[in-house]
Amino acid sequence: MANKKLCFQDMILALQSYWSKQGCAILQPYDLEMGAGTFHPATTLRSMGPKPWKAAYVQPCRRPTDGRYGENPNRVQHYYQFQVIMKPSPKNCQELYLESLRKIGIDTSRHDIRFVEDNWESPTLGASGLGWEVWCDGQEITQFTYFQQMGGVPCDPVSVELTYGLERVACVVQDVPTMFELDWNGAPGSDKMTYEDIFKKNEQEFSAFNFEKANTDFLFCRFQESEKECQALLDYNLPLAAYDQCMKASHYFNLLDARGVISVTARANYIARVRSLAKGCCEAYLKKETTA
Amino acid sequence: MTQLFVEILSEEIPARMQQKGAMDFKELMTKRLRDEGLTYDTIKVLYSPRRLALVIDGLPAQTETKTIERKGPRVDAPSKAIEGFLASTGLSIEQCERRTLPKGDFLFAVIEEEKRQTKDILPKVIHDGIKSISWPNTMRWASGTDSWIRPVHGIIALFGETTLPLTLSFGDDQDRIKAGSTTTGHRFMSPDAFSVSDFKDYIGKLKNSFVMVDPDQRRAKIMEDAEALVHQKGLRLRRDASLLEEVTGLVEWPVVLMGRIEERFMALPPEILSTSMKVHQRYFSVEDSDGHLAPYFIFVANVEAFDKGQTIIAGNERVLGARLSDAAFFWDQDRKKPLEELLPRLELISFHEKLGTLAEKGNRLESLTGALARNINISKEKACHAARLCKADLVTEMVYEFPELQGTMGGYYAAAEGISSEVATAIKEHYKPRGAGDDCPQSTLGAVLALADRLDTLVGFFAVGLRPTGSKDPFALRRAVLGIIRLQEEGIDLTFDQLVQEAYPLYKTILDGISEVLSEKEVMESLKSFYQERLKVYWKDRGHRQDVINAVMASGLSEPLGAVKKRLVSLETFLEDPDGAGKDLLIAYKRAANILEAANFQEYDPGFLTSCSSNFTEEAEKKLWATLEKTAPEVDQYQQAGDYKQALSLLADLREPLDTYFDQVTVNADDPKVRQSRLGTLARFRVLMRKIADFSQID
Repeated sequence: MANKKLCFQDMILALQSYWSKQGCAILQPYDLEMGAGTFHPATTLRSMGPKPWKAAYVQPCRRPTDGRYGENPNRVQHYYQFQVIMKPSPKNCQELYLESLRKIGIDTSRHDIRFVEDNWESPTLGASGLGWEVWCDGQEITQFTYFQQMGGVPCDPVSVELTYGLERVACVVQDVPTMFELDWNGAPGSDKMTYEDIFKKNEQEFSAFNFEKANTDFLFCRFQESEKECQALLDYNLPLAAYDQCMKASHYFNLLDARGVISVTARANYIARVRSLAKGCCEAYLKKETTA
Repeated sequence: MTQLFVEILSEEIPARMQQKGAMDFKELMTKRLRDEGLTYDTIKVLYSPRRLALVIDGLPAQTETKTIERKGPRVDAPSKAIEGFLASTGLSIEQCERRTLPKGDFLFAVIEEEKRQTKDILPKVIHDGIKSISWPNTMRWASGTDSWIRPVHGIIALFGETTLPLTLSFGDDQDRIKAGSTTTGHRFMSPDAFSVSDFKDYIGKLKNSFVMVDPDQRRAKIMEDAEALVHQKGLRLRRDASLLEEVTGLVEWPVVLMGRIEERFMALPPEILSTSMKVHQRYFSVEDSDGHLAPYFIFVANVEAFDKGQTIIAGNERVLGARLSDAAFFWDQDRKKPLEELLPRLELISFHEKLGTLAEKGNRLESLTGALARNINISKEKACHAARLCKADLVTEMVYEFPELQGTMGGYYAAAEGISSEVATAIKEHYKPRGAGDDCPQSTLGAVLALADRLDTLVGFFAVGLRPTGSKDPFALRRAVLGIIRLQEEGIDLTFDQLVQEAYPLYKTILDGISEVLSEKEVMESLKSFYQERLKVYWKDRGHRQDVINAVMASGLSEPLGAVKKRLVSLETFLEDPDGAGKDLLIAYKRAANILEAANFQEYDPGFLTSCSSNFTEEAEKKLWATLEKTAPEVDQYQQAGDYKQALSLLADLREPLDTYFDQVTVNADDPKVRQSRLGTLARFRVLMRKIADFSQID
């Protein structure tokens, strides 16, 4: 492999090309706000039921409470995950994953790669899994999870989910200390664009939006409407459409949380409401899948 | 004699579970082999993140022969009976022995049970052993239906030179694992498969393939290399057994490396650095000869990189730098606001859904700590100040990021805004002791606040019926009670009753709004029995005698804990007294108690006794009565002064008049009046003894 360090966009292309060769359908990001790539229906819904499934995609993630106005070099309210989902989990999935690291220029004989226990749980999705966080020189770069349960239903067969934190992986690949210094496009001279060029302003503006300006009345109202719409769509037995509304409700909740207007007791209640929507969508989807 | 060697190769097993899993496997194998009648010389189990290895030396090739004799019918029995016997034994009539017994000649079947081949027994034993290991949290994978700790990839099962026919399945027909004689080396440094002939060969080849499967060896190497690295810099390693155990379980080939902490972070409170290093990164801290944190850290990699680990060190330094710049950012942000200003945000945090918010808890703590302070003569004003602010750091950025630093940060922030060092220290210390291995607060103010915090929690949870049941203790109430016990021992010596009486009424507004709550009296009772249980366990763990603990606690806990403890220690010393005074007195006590019990004597009534002392006729009983009359007030005096040693020594002097009494006086006299007064004398003695302890509980 060439010595040149991959820029951010080439790294994504390399990952897509690699996982494409492993038989994954390369999908595009889902066009809704979500807190993690796991929320993408290609993972949440497709990990259920008996049908084999392999897909990979980039997913932008929004975590409003993690905004730091672009001041913190390691924490942002918007970032990218590269998500691979394979059902059933292949026997050699660890090797497949490690090979993907080599493909993007992480030399596993020069770095210290470790699989450190990490049990994953998403209260809002009623989902859980066992696996590891993958460390590279002490930095967590990937979540590696064997799904055991989704929407409250046991997964059978079991899917494996690989979630690369793209910015962190890129920092290792490019050997830079912070994500804002990442080379985005690899172009020479004045054409070169860094992560900071592209995203710093977003972080500043969206942090202000998330923490200070977002209209909470509007958000409360939107949450309720999405919840209602989700339930209505479930009554029409349209789980895919209903699930969109569930994701929206989840995001409105995250924004309200960042605005600090949800008390602790109320918080548990909101999470339970989203979980109940997710559970409804999963159950309806699974029922359609298995009876079709 | 033959060796059995088993290796299970799997995906990375969580570090904290490896040892227990390995021990479990060993025990299961030991038990099953014994059940099968197989003996051996030694059994050993080793483990690393990716493997469990078991070696048993000295197994026989086959089980011992067993001769089984069965008695049949008489030789002249009806043919049906004989045929039935032959059929059940599988022998012909010629193969049976005839033996003459008193009742006639009988048929006997003498059957040599066939020797069973060890190699035929082992596969199932190993199979069941592997599948029965009890892991704390198991998973399924692929299309499997059965779970294990992580996916299994290979098995070696060698009995001598024979590969045992063993197949392991986790319910997925596509993935049946057949035992063989091959394994792989280090995931990155030597991933190719190789075959082994026995355990010795395995260890040797693994070493060449960069795997140390023996955890003791990895642990020793880590310590040795780490010490050598810090020594070169004239520094010392901060040893940490639990961290060492964890990193030993994270590597197959430990490579110890040292990184630097950037100078600009060294101004942060040292707890931030050490917590971040240990909890997030699994790094060891390093200190200088004065015990101050040095700007280095030790970590353990799993790979010998060709650049001598320079990339790995740089990467780890960068990760730590990122974490610490977060911490530095929080440190700056948090100090911009005084703690007092953070208090309103505690209204948003629930203490428990039934017990209100942390703001409410803070208010109760302020009243409670103030009340307790009054009782032990420390500044009420400072106590209240510390109590009011002690939970404020929970809404700081730093504690949100590093929950382990609760209290510690509050102390730093309080000091930074100029709050008196007494108050700052109390805030810092009030979570102590954090566990059995931790110290109590150094300052009295900290100790009072620590006690108040735990007391408030216990009373609240008990009042709404949330006491621990069985092994379930989700709110760590056992630890809270232990904390109170230790704080009382350390000198915050208020009686248990006093504590509950101060704490319960503060919950009034909250409890008024809940339908099912326990009254103060009910909380007192149920919390007291919980407290006593823990106290017994605690003292027993500290090496005190169970029977003496029970004896001194029988009188309830109306006095301060320090006094109870003193009685415990004095009584233990007294009973172990080399001249036997304690034991002799105990014998006399038991004798008196037995007589009283046999007579079903009602409790001692002083008025009755005084009136009937005129019934005494014998010298010995007059003498005993007089001695008791004289001794009782003296014992009381010493006891009140807390001098149990002296009180016990006075009681020991009763032994002689008692012995004479038992020799010369018939307690169960015919005249009921005389009998009652003699029993009364013994009861008087018993009452006196019970002021120290319930001696009937002592063995």
